Amino acid sequence: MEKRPKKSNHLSPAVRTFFNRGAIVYFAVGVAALFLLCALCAGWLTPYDPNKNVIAEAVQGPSMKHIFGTDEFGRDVLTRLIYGSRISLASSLMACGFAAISGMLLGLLSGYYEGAVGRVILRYVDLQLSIPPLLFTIIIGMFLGKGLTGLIIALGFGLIPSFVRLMHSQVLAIKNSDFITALRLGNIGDWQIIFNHLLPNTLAPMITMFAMNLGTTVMLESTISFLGIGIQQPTASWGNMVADGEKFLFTSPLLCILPGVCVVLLTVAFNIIGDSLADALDPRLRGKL
Amino acid sequence: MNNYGTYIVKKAGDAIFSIFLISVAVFLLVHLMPGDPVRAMLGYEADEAAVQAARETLHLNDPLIKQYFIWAGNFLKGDFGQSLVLKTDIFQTIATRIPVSLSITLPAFVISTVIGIVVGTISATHRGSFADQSLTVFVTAFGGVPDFWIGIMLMFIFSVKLGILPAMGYVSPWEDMGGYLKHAALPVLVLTITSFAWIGRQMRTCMLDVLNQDYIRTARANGLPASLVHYKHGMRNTLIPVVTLLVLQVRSLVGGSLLIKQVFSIAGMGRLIYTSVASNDYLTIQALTMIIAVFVIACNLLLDLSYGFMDPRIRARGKRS
Repeated sequence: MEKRPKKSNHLSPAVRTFFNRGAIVYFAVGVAALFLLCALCAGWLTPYDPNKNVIAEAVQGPSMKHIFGTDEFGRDVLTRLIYGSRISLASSLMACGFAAISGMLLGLLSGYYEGAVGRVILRYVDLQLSIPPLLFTIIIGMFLGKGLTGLIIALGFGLIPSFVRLMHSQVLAIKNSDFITALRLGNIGDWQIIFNHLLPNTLAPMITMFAMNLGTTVMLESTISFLGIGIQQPTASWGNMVADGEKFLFTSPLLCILPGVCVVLLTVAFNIIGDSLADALDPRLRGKL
Repeated sequence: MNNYGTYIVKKAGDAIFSIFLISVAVFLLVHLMPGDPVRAMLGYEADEAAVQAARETLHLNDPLIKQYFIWAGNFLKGDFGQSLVLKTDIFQTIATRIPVSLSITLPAFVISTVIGIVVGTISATHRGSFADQSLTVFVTAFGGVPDFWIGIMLMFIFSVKLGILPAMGYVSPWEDMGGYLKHAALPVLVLTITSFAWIGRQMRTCMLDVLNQDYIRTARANGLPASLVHYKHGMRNTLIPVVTLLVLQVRSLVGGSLLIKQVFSIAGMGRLIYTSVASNDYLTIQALTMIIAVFVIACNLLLDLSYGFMDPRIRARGKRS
């Protein structure tokens, strides 16, 4: 029987490059997976209600009953950290998803139709970039009101320019390629070219941008919640936990330190994953880093 | 007019048009807010006569286009009106806050730029080495620390535990230099730590891009010493992206300092932004957003003009590539 040629695995060089940085990448993937697990299984991981006040147990130090102690309302800190991961992950994933879809669409249109459409889109992006991201997110948040949905849209809006700019430059780079010219000559419609041919060829840098923005969004969400404009009490968010814990910095510093550590761990994990993805998906950087 | 002259005129025209568009957006801010903006500013219990008087003062009963021209005309004269919440002149309030903010952000900008460029360059030129790995970990870790949290932690260490620096407050350098240095040390340190990590990361990427170019390989193949290749041919060609990222950093510092001012209770621009947002003081938010946007657009214009000096190709073409 004729031996069938072994199917080559196109993913392996990229996967190898992804893990090229060694232990630090495994650590980052592990941390992200751990928080994802916490967010998905929060109800099973802890017996406590994150929002239920037990004033008799207020501001207690670590014990067997409450591993990280309790806050000013007697709520279990570990439980609130676990539930806080839901807010951080949901807001960052959904805000980045919203920004990626809107930004890619606008970038595709501005790159493909360079004329008036392109100019209007790029002008909008330039205008948005002239306002600092945090201030812009806060102003959009004022329109949309406090709460998770408003926060996600406000965060997403702030990220749109980076996706538009990247997609625009990617489309400009490949829209004059021979295969796109051939498709045009073959009377293939604009929308079909944009979605079936341009989009798949520009996805790799978009995935990298998505991963890199996840860390930024985790940090921005905690910042806005810290300022008291984002997620409101009693819902647990790492940002509002730091704000509440600051009052007890002299007596129970853990209340302030632990939620901050969670923000740092998740942000750093996403940044490392983003960097490794950038290396893995960029053929020039495949190899030793 | 030569090509560079045309380039300058085009870029200046673009900047003015951008300022016009952003002024329209900022002006509409008050009108697009949900609910009655005057009631939001005065409080929902304010009596009807006060609300009507405020509407008259703000020309809110006039047609929208007339309102815009009155507002834009006043803005150009530096008259931002009276804050309905703080009951003070907005121009005066902002004028007293800007020097406070600059005395914190400027030193942080200079220190973080110098450290960031050195760290990024070493990381790129010694790629894969232990130094690069350590610097990358360091830069990545500090890039992931929110500035408000690092502020609180440094306050905890240096003020609560060690008791060597004041936890909060501000002293003007013109009044007492020693007091200023003590009070500004922590906020400047926080802004420096968070900014230099970002600059270092971008510098490493820019430098790696340049070092991967063919002409660098050719220079090496011709036997030029590594230091000459890296620091003369390599660094010179990172000038445009580095200047670009420094201008972006100015934009971040304007907004990023918001948190630091909040944590250390410094009455700068950041704290003014926070209190205006928290108290629905739309008129102050309008003025602040407009001033920051004009500042950033002016920085971008200077950046575009500097491209012409740095890259002869841009000068020759009369437009940015």
